[in-house]
Amino acid sequence: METAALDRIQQALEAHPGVQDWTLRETQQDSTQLYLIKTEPEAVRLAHTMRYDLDIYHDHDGGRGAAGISLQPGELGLLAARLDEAVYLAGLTHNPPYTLPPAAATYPAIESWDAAIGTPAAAAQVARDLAAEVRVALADETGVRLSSMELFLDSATIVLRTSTGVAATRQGTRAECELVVTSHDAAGAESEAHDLWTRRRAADLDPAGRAVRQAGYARDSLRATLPPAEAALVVLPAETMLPFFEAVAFRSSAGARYRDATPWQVGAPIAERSAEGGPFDRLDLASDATLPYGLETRAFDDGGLPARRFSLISDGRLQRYWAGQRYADYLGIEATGGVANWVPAPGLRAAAALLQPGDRPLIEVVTFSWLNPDDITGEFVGEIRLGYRITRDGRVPIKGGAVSGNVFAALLHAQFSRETVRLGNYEGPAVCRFHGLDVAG
Amino acid sequence: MNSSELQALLPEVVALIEAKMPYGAALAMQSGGLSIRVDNREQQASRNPESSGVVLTAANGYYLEEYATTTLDRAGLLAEARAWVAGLVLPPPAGPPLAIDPGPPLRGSWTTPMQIDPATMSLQDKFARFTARQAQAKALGGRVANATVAYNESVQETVFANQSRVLHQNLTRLRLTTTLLVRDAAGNIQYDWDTAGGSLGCELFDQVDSPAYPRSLAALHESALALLTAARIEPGVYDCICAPDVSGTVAHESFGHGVETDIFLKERALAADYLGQRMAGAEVNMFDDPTLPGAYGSYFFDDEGTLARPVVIIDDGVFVSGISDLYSAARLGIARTGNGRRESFDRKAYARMSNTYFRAGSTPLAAMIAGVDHGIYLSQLSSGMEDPKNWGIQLVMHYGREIRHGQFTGRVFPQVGMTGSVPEVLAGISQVGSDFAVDTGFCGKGHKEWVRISSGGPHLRLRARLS
Repeated sequence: METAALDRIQQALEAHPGVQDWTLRETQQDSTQLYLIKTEPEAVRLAHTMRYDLDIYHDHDGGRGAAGISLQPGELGLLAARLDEAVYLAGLTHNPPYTLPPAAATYPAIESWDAAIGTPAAAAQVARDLAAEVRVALADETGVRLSSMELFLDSATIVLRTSTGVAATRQGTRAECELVVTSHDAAGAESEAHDLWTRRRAADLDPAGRAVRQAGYARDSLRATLPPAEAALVVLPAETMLPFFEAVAFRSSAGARYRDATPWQVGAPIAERSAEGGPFDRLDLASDATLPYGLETRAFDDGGLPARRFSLISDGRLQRYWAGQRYADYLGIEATGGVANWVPAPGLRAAAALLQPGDRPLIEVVTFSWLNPDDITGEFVGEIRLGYRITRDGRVPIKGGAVSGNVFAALLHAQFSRETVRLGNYEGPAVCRFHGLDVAG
Repeated sequence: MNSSELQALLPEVVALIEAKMPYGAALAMQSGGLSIRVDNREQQASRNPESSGVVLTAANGYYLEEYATTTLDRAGLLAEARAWVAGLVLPPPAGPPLAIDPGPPLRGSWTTPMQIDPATMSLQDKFARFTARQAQAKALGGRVANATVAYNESVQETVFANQSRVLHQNLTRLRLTTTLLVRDAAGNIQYDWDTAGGSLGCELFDQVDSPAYPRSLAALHESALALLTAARIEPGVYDCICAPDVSGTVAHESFGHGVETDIFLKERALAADYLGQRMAGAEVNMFDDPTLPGAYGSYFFDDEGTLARPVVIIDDGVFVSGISDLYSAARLGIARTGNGRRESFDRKAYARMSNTYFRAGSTPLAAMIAGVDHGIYLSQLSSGMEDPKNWGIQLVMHYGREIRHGQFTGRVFPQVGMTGSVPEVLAGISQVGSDFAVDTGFCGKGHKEWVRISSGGPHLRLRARLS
């Protein structure tokens, strides 16, 4: 592997009197992209990019300043000037001292590379094959057509070096697909279903299978009606509730703790527990950067901390803040590395049981228009793009209306299926039933 | 390579492409800038990650092929271009042919008008302004857990070339966000924020510090504190006064995304069936305008070489035009509107909004509010999402403020969602305010392909379903 540019940058960093510590990342990426409008190509694209990202640390006046810069190939002639400016920028900032992660003796062996899309030529063929599979699959779907499909097959190599001796390389692939399927009825009314998902391996994408599933949703959407406002239990498939974990990531971060932006304390429940309803399942949640082919699986994080699995929440109580080295130093805690793939523990009940209505109807939400919980407060409201109202009389498609509540309270008052599912950055209960959420029709 | 060198080189690359393909184009995008963040506990400053490269476009008679690279030296770029072109193959005839009009000959160079070029203001002076503002916010006391001032300065230089034109623009956009976190005795946290910005220079700082600036730090503090004791709104249909950022997002999500003509091509847009039809009262006029002076989404030409121009989307209540990119315009046989935009050089261009707004009307805000018996004042837009096929709309506001008998009651509701159908919302507009403002923001095509935009207009009075 060509290292001349990295060596040159590293030498300049080591030689600069204003740089006490540094990190250097080289990112090289190939992206193969295919865009279809209906079943015909709109565009075929190939992108090859390379970039160097530098973080420099300048100690002054008893504290540490930091600044980041980046360079692209062909800009190494600007290195000296950019470093001088970065040191000056870092000199304007003043923070308590902190360290960088030490070099690890070894980094865990992880699986994050799909050789099938490891080169642009191979990825281009895979893209054509996947598109053909979707065309074939939807050809058998009555009253349904493909409106559009976009495929992104990426491979990246990241080299990390730091002033503390980290010198490591990681590689990863990503396969992303967006597709829109439209259904129509005999009267000419139309409705669509939209899907966007990402996996490490092309083989895990299964766009044909998902297209057929979306075809069913598109048909159901044609006859979906506005749900009534009622006290219903809300059931979310795992993929639908993934945005909940972004709010958990913020509140459980050492950075948020340090900035006084989170109310969570280690050992304390993440929300108040209600005495009503239940019984609810334990909330046990881990982060795992070593999960085979997980989207967030990597041998080391951007600072060089080795990948690991750690418990974040146990029985609804915060076990630890996740932390890079800086905030670990500030709070005097263990450096865990960044949160990676989410691994909540399965529950006690079968998914089929969670989807059985009792005295109250169930609202199963397949997709929201956009579920975007507030990271700081945990509050959310999301319009139901497609769901099902399940009563003892049957399962009726619904759309419109909204579900609202608080993410953290919801997770403590939930029942999780014992069946698990593996998604891009998640391995956990396939279905979750939540109490205490509001459904507005 | 500097912009002059690129303006000389890119036509050579285009000639290489067109030696084999019916149409070729090249776009160089160089993006950089500065980010500074100051709060109670830490200070951060960085140059924005460079995103600089070239995208080569070939229309092969049926679809587009593109190659994007970070190679920006002459020899390297020419070598990569030759290698890529060598691999291009004219496809066999299949379906209607794609013909691209390169446009009339044109050369031009444009730069964002500014009073104070950020390049002339020292890093130290900028840093001093933000630390001073942060100190003012922190000093508000009264349960302030943290006060953050975050500044982003984006400088983007693009050069476009095809067989008939060579265009250059240098765009500067600034964004300054102040966020106040407050905490009550029980440890609950709430917050409010203010964002100012646009396509302008460091005169922005004086505007924000001016006593005339519409949202003072004290007002932020007051609203954040009110949220600590706020309860959720009772779902229902309400008489709403929408602040410009909310009005603008109604425009953006309804007749912005819904009329991007690549969606027409995919037969995903219900709006396509309503071209030429009345959608709202005669006082409703909506525009997308990349030439709006000082707005965050402004530019001089789009990423496909079409000069920017205002587009009238709704004219006196009638839907009259969509906004287009090169491919959908060519396929639909319509004029290009200058809305072909990319997130970056390594992403595809789509039909995208720029600055989308309702035109101001005639009703003063005070009169609007005075006329509300029971309603909600909606502001602080958090997010919005489009549904072009079903013409649905979802907006989420950080909070709403209750109005009764023409007066604010002081009651605040957190996380208010507006849902419904676009035709109902537009038909429900009963008053259009005489004021006008646009915000700064980012727009995704669904959940990806992010571009800078603004949304806005006047206050609007309308009826909507809230939850």
